[in-house]
Amino acid sequence: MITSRLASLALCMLLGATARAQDVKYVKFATLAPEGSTWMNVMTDLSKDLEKATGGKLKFKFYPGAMAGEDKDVVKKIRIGQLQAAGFTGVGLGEIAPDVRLLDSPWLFHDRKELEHVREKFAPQLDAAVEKGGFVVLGWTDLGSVYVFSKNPIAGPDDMKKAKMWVWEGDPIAEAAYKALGVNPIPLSVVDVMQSLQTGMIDAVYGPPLGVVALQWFQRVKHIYPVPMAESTGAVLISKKFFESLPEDQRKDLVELSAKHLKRLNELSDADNDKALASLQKQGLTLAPKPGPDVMRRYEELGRAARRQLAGRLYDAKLLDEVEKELSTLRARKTAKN
Amino acid sequence: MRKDVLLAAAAAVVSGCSAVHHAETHVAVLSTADILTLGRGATLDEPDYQLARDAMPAQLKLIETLIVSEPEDRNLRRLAAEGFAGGAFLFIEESDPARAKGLYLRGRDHALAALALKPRFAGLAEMPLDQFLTTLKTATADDVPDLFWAATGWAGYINLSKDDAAALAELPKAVALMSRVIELDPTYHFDAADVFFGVYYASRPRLLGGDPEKAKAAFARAHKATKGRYLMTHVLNARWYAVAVQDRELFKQLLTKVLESPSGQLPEARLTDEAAKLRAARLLEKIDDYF
Repeated sequence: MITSRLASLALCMLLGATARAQDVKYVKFATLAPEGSTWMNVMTDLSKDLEKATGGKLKFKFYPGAMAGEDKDVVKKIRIGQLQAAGFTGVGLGEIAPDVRLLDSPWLFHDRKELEHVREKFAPQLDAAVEKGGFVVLGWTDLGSVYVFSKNPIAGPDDMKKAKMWVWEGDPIAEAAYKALGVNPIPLSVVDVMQSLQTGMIDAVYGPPLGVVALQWFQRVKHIYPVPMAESTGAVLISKKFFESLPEDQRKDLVELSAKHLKRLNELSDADNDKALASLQKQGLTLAPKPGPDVMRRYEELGRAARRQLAGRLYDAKLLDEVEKELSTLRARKTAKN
Repeated sequence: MRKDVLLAAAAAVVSGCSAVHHAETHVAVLSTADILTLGRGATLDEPDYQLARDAMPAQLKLIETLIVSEPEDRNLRRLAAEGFAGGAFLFIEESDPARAKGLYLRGRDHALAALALKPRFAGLAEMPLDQFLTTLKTATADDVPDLFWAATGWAGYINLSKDDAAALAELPKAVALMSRVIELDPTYHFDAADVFFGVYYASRPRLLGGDPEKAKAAFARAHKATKGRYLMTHVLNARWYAVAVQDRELFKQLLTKVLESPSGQLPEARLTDEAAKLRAARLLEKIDDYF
């Protein structure tokens, strides 16, 4: 008697649990950022808010620290439905929507504010490119200004030619930048960089300060060149198919909460990168003084040439023209104001 | 007999605290320090995890109190370094990581203070990386406990500060301290320097220098050195290596072995073994979260 009542109770609980489990949808989310990083802390907050807003019906499940592989593997896994969303770097964005890599192109922006302005102004074009690739933008993410870190001091563009410069294999942006500088870089995967710095096969690398700290490359270099090569942009994207399968209220919650938290993430990332740059100097690296206006003008020219090279190959030439025009207008306005 | 020693210790502490300026204080403090050093073994052989956990704060404060009047006593510094860094790992990190960060740093700083009793190591933590590495080369076997606990405290702190770029930038220094232990005496403290590198290589993604093969080799060395009798090694092997290579069977096998093994097979290991058993049970319960 007691046994059968217990059994029916257990059955009810089981059925109840199953019904509830069917209602819950998981956004399986991959990122390179490790557990405990600023990135994952913010994503965890976003997940909690989303769970609250949807009454527990929509939740994130995380695969941090490259558990699901690097960008290219993750794109594949999302396309076959194993995962639904990810925080991508430029590499993943290049797979999905090469047009948006315009944001990463060499010496395009003078600072992060310009980058943000362009991302807002050209949101319709950028969003459309991502959707064409089968994804929806939940937010753009600042990965940081890309600096060159070297064993020997670099005083200007000509010194770059003397360095044994690394390039991430298959990174068209850095290739174009180096070509414009007349540098013949050595292509290697990220995993091989540390060893190659040790053996002396390369003696200069590039990346955002926080990345160079996380990857621990700074142990093998001494100098930081102060002119960023690019502002690197990442994005949190979700599978378009999955997104469209969600009820409208959940879609709205997801979009609004992502915007709110990823804005905060960008502020924190900017602060993290500034802090990383300061910490590197504390660990003994030297940040060279900023070059004068004539050298900066040279980067303008180099940038224009490098970006032109990538037009048609990576992004649309027309889009490049429009963005460059917008930036000149913006700068002219700024000069007039001063 | 044992009771008498404890009473003598208590009396010495009381007189040490209340009569700082008297000449006898020096004698009292030294003898208390000696007794505490002897008492270290009693703590490490404590079979009751909860009792050791409850006793820890008072013991640590006692040691720090004595350090106030004897800041250059290397034994006291060593006790404090081991007490804070080891205590943070055994008792605090899992339940209250934010608090463990501060305790790890205190452990590191006591170890660095012990090192700094040799003038060449003064200001070690703040040296630029190059100078730090060159200075470490001058360390000898005599410095191993201080190198080990400084590394443990520092790495424990950094591991809990992954959202802090300044802390991440200090990781090469913590790793260099532990590498020096490997060079000088890898068997120190149950071959824990190898365990450290086992966790290090297993817990980091390949992209960030992780390497499951190196992790496996490091755990194997630690296993061999302790003949498989130090249970925490198996727990960390399961938690980090087995999870990294997604070997559910290995995870189960290692943790089941911990639960089935007697604790205290090695001298001064009983308390850590008891902690390992508790951890093993918790990890086995959460197996589905890891695989």
